[in-house]
Amino acid sequence: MVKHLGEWCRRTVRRGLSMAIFGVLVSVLLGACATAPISAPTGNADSNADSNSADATAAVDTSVSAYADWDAVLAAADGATVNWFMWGGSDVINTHVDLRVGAPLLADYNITLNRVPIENTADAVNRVLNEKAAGREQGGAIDLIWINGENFHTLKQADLLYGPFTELLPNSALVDWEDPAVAFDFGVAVDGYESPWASFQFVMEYNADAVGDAPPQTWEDLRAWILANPGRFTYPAPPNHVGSAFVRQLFYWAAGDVTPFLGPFDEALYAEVAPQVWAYLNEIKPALWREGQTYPELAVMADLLANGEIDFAMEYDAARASNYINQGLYPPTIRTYVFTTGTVANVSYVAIPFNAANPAAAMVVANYLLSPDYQATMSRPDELGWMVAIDPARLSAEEQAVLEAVAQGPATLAPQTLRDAALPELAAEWVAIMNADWEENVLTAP
Amino acid sequence: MKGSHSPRAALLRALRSPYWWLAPAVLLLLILFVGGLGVGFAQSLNYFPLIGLNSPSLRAYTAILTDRGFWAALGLTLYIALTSTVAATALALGTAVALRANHRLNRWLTFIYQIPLPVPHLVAAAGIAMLLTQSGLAARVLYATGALERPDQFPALIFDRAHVGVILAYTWKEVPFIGLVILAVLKGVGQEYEEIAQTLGASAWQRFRYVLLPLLVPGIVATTVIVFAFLFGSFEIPLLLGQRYPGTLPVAAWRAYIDPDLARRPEAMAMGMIVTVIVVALLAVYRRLVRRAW
Repeated sequence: MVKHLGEWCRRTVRRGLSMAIFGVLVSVLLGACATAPISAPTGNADSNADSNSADATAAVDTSVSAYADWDAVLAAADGATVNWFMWGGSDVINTHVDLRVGAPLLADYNITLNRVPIENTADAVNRVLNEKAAGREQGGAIDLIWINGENFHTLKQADLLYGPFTELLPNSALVDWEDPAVAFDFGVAVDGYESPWASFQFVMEYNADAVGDAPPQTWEDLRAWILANPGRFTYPAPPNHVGSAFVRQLFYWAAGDVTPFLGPFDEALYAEVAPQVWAYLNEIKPALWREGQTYPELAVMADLLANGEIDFAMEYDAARASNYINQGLYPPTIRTYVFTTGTVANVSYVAIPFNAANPAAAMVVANYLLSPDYQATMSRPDELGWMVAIDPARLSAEEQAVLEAVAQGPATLAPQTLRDAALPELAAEWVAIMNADWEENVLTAP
Repeated sequence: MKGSHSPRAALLRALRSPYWWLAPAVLLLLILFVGGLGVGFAQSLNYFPLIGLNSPSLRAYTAILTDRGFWAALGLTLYIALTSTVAATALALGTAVALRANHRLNRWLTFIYQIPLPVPHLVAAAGIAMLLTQSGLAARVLYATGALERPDQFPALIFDRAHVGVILAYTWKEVPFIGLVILAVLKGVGQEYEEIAQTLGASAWQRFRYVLLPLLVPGIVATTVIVFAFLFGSFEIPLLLGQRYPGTLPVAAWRAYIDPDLARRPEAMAMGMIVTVIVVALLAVYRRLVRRAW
């Protein structure tokens, strides 16, 4: 009897303990799930006027309306750390950001800039989305994202951006917001949810040693050159942003005009133009590098040009060729050109996620990026060599002189040449459809 | 009655139970693995409330399974994983048997043999690319020595249809991994069985085939399972060294995942689920086959 009782006790205790372990596991799991409620679909992009400022007020109010003026922003930013998520694939950009942005911010504003390198801006977008899904309304990991185009569209659409904040920035007055190329990011209205950093333009890069001094500046000449020189030309496969821009410009060429593309997606126009584009690309396909059986990644294409495996490359950055020549990555015979029908240009922005831990400090960074001094420094060929995002006409005579004194790199076209050739970008929905159809009609075509 | 039967002692014993030591690992597995798989599975069923997908459906699965690109990708993934695993296992077996004797030279060779182990896959890919592209080191050396008239006569081994570069990179990485396991088993087995077989008149081949190999099979099976599952599911090397289309399944899943268009997320997750199911199914079949054969 007593023995049985002991056995019973032992079993009960053991069973109880197992139950307890199981219970702890379950409750921890449930707890993890409870803090991650699947939120209802957020409002559409149209309701973005001031909706962000209302919520997210649990501990400290960091919404835009909480700051009376710029001084209040500066006060809140003092001593803060800004986690800036940005594509980290370029040593030049990384060093520049650390030395020309991070160092002065720490010295002048007591803000620590923590540059977080990512491989793809979509990684940061995913992270913000995941934080939203996990119910993290404040204290998010990201304070600032280098962003534009589709990624901006995605975050703005899901109402996951902080703002509108650009009106608070004193240097925002130097930006020409009347210019549709600035006020619309790939067809999406900026509406104060992102602040410009630099502007970019698509250029073709070529080896003058192989191609000569007169590169094929029309799309017809380019096709003729490719067919006459098989294996010496290629382009990165869309959805890579450069390959995608290359294909996009063929649409402009085939339609003979840019303006019809600037509105929302137009089925009839697309159906008329697209077959011409696919025909062009399929015609040159057998004469491409590797007979068009594969397409290089962007960085690989630069290597191929540098190694003489191909004679052309392309980049959505008019200064890259000069930078690469200076670094010894490109032979000195590389030059750039734009098509007579123009090349696309766009602006790179910085945006702040809805749940940024330090939005005030992030705004100070955004404002600093627009300062005339910084913009002039950035545009120097020994720094980034990017084109300025501010309107030179809005600067003082002195500041304009500084900007004009910036020398051009050996392969970079004159600013005026680039400006004259600049074509606007089109809405993200066009881009997505073109990318998908390129895969179907060119990449996977037999 | 003894004190050991008292509830207090039982409690103490339960507290000392080794299962407690499993708790942290089990927790981590449950939260990270099962939790992640669950979220992925939900999204693969088109359930992604954040972007307004509220009604689960099999849309993503039907879209993938009816796309001819998927079957090409599946074939390519299987081909790469199988070829690399078989090549690495054969090479590992040969080298391990050669390196088993405890000479001083062999100790050095074993050290060199293990060098690929700590090298990250990405670095291996970069190295193979630098060596074997048509403007790479090998092509340049052959061109300089006059073996090639033009560097681009060098065969296309990177970004090529046969994915030679991918398989080479994987084989280079996995040979020492499988080899080390086989070496460890060999050291444990010792030479006695083979010596006995020899005294009974077995030839060198017979000693290998009927004595050594059966002893090694459990270790080989375990490592090939790990290697195959890893190669089937990893995407970095095919992304860097592979042809753009068709890409492997994990590369296709990754491309769909990083697409800024969130509506493609269910597709990415569905591909991930399919990769998981295929790996598990193939490994189950493989283990059963091996168990039956040996």
